[in-house]
Amino acid sequence: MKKILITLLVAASSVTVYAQLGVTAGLNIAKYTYNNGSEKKSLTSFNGGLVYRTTLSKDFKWQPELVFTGKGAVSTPPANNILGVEKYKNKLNYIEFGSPFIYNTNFGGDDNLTFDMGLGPYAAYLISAVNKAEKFDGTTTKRDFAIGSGTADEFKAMDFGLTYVVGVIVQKNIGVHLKYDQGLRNLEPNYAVKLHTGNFAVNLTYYFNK
Amino acid sequence: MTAQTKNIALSAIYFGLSTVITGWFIFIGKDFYSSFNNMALSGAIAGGKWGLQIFMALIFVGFRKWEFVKEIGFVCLIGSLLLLTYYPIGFFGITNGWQFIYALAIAVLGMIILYYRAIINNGFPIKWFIRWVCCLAIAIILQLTVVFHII
Repeated sequence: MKKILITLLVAASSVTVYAQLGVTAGLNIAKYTYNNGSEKKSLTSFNGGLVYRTTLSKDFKWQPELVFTGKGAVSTPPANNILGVEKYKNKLNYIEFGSPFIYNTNFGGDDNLTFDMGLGPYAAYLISAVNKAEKFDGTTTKRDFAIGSGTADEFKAMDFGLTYVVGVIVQKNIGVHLKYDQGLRNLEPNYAVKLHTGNFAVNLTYYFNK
Repeated sequence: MTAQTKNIALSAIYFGLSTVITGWFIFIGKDFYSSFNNMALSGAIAGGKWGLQIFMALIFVGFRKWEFVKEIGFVCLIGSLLLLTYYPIGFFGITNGWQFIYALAIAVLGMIILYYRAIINNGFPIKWFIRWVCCLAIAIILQLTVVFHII
């Protein structure tokens, strides 16, 4: 038993040599779209969390990440609406697990500057959804959206889709990435129209080891 | 696993994944096709140019044929993945036909660059790049005439 444990520990430590753990944070520009052509405006938010980066082969990395990320959209009702609302900020806060597979190359140059291009799936769970109404008179009101798939609900809780990544790794432990998440699940629980999320993010990542 | 077996396996994976992704792209663009037959024809034309390249490579390239097929398979896969720029393009409010066309243009441009790079980096004759560009041009003309009836 002791030998097995030692063997496992040695094996685990040999794997971690090729892996990096890090923290990431970034700015989001998010919106959701409907398949009937109507479109919301973009909402600025942020994301942050943990990343893990491991080498699959010489040029390929796998970089799963667990982040808190703010998505959503802004909608503007007609200017003469009876409630006096200038705009609604619909904030959708997710815990997201992304799993991009990344092609990493230095284009024949120095390893202190390498380039990432990647794609992979993500799954996200909606932990809160808030509708903030900003009125022309300067006041604001808030209400929580109902989350779920029931008849009274407004957003489905689970989302999944594709995550795209391009960026650079500087000095082997600082990453700057442009990311895009495309939701593939219809999040509208009741109406025939389909709703999908989209989110651009610019992230700065610090990996603890090189 | 011998180098040849690895090349054959990777070629199958690259072209297999490319087929799935291209099929998906045609499916999400189904509103732009007049019928299912047209969708199938579009896929056949897209795959045909690669099929022709593989066929010619297996006959004419010699002992490095599977290495060549693997390299162009990787180009095909990246080109197919570039079709997925369809979604980020839509984020900018570009929708309908233009969203589809821009994604195709990015994929074609990416494949041209990567194919050229693969040929040069691996020491294959430049004539293979020229042949592939000719196949690509014919495929685009066929898509525009037979599939979409634009010209």
